[in-house]
Amino acid sequence: MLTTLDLSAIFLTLKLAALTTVILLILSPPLAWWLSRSKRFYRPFVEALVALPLVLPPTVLGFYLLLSFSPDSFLGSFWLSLTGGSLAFSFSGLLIASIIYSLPFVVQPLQSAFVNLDKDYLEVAATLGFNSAETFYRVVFPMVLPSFIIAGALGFAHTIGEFGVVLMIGGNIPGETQVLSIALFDHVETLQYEQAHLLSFTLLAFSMTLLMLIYGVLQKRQKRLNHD
Amino acid sequence: MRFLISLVTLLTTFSVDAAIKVAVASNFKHTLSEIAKLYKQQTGEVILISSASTGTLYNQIKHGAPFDLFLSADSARAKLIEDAKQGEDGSRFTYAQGKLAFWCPEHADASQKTLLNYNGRLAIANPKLAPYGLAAKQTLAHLDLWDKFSYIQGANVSQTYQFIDSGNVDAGFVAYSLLLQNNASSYYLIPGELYQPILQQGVLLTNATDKTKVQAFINYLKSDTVKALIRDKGYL
Repeated sequence: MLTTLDLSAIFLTLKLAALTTVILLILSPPLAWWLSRSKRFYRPFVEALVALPLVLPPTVLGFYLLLSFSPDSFLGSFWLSLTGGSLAFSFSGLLIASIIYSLPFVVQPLQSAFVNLDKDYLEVAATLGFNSAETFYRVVFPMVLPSFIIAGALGFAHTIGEFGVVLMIGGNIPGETQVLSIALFDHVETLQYEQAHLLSFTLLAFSMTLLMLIYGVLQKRQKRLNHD
Repeated sequence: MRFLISLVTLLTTFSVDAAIKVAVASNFKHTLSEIAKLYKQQTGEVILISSASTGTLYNQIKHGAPFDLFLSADSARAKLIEDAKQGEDGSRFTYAQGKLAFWCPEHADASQKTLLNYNGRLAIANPKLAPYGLAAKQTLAHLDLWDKFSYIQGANVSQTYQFIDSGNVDAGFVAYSLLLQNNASSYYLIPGELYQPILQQGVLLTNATDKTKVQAFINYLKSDTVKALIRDKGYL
């Protein structure tokens, strides 16, 4: 059976993934829009920066986050003066790390959707007198909705599976930073294979179901659009 | 063509098969690489070092990882390998005994008093995974302090060191060898009677390609010169 510790790890992981996804779905669209439209000379730099978490080994990213969370550093001391707590080994710290770590997974699907968007629609919207916010919500958003769903699903799934970063900055505190992947690692390292199998099966079944649901919804939508 | 031939020669000289492949617990890697350097100077034998946590290495060996020698950070995992007939019967030996230290970088001369008066979060290695973590827990239980602190747990003792070194935690329990290796100061060496000895044991693996060669290296590890070197690195 799953222990209470395992259950709290599952709950914590879901909370982390959900919050990360919500925040990323708010932050990413403007960024992706800018990346898909901007002709500024520094755009490639920003683009590379966003993609960096794909390249960096998670433990390396985690190590630098650990250094920047330190009270001696700018970010760490700023946070300390703001909240009175430290960023490392806290849920907030994990949340910030997850946002950075999963950013490319949310930005990139949106960016490619925006790039492929037919310019004519935007021009029609302009002739109808829509301002940019209206254009976005009434024209762009409905057209790229599937990409939003995919972006959200990828961000969520990726955060669930996060391990290296959490290992470096988490500190393995039950209920605060001991997420599923860490609990799983503990079980394997302490040779509790049965617990490990049970937990990974739960993780697998959940992720599979979620992803299937999402792709199912997308398929239905595609069918409906094709019939219209 | 000549380039190709020299490339092939180069590759075969560095052939992995000829080397002694050692799986070592991360905390001893630094010391082992110095021993390996000496050994190579004296005998020409190449020691190939793979390091990870003892638990990870244990799992790899269990599933047929091609190592010749397993240097565990504890005695339990080495014994499990020996008992499972994946290690040669009777080849298990203690190569080092760890020393635990309480490290508080902000305190110029740390003593037991520093520990007793300390308030705040403590960094320790995960007692379930790491021998130094277990020793830390035993020490704190011995001093009736275990319930007093909240703990930040590293997956291993090196990570615990990192937590303190980066300034994210003010104090914690680490391996004395790590403090020496990094020239750190302001620590208090925990008296040996407060925790069970941290026996780091090795075992010759039955999978080993050339057992006499590995045995020769084991004898070297047990020699007085190497023992003295290991002591200098912060072990008993």
